[in-house]
Amino acid sequence: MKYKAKESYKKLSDDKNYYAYGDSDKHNRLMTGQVIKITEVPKELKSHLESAESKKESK
Amino acid sequence: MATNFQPKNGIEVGIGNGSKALGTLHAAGDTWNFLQVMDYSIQAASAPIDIAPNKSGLFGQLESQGHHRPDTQMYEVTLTMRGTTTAVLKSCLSLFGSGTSEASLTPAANTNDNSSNKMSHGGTNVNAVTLLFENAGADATNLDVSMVGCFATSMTMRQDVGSNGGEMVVETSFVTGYRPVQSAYAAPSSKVLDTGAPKNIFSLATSTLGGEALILNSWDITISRPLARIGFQNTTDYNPFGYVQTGPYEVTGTLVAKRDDEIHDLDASIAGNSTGIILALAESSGFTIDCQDVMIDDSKPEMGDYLLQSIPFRAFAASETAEIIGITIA
Repeated sequence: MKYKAKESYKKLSDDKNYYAYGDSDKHNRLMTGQVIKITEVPKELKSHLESAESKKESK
Repeated sequence: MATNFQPKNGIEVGIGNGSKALGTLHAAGDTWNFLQVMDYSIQAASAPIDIAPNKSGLFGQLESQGHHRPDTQMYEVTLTMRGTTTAVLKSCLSLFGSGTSEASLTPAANTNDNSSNKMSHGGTNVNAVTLLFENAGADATNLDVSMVGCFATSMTMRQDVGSNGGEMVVETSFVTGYRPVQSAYAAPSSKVLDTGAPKNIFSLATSTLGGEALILNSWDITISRPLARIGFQNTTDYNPFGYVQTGPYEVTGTLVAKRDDEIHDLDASIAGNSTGIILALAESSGFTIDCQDVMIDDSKPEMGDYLLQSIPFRAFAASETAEIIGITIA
């Protein structure tokens, strides 16, 4: 699934954002507003990310 | 006379990971993944010799001409592992900073310190790992060898119907500018054993290039980059100031497929029409390799009991933010 960061993600400290999950690349891309593919979103990050699937793709 | 010795099979390899000041040993309480390592190389503190020029008229080299250069040393080790999810993702972590699925390599990828544009000694870095070789120390009491501040410079994934039962093999090379240390390392308080099943070529449900379905005998993909150390901080331990990446990530590989009608349909791309095509390798779930823009590099027929086609390729990004390779694995 494709996701992008909500504003709340950008305010998370490094021990709570994607750095804490061993993925600096996802963190860096989310911070620049990019859409990324995530196989399984960590439970603690779900409320800070939003789906970026187009309606056509998600059907 | 020393009586101790070192059986190769008695050595277990762990990867300590998690945010740490670059150059600092991961502690016993950090995350330690013990992967299914089949083969490995190890390193010990060493230094090459630079030789100053000879004085004219002398035909022997004087001791004063020899200069040890530990300040230039990059220690490299290679781990060969069964191709599990953890083996792939830990390799991607220290190679291009993507330690969770989908591991995605774009032209913007890097392994810099957190929120930084460099890899510097002491900087907080989530991508550098510590390699621990338990029982590899030559000393009777300093039993272990640890290598701190390691980054991967290449990883190769490969599958072959003719070897390892079709299992994927991951071969990853790590480098560090820090001297390997022999010590009695406090055992990791929790060893995370990798018990995952390796991916297998016989489980591939999709293997297409440019939309043509290939019957693969084997495939391999290598992601690599050059790293260099930055000088030395002192003449005690010769720790580097950090590292720089001196060139781009390169993604290359080879498909070996049955030479058939689908190969014929790839003729335009094989002949070199300068247009990128899509490479897709995937199991029905849990493993996908996606390269959206590959170009075939000098493909040739290959002789076997029946004809095969060897298809070397190189993967590119379509734009500065596009993916060169995406690895979805679970």
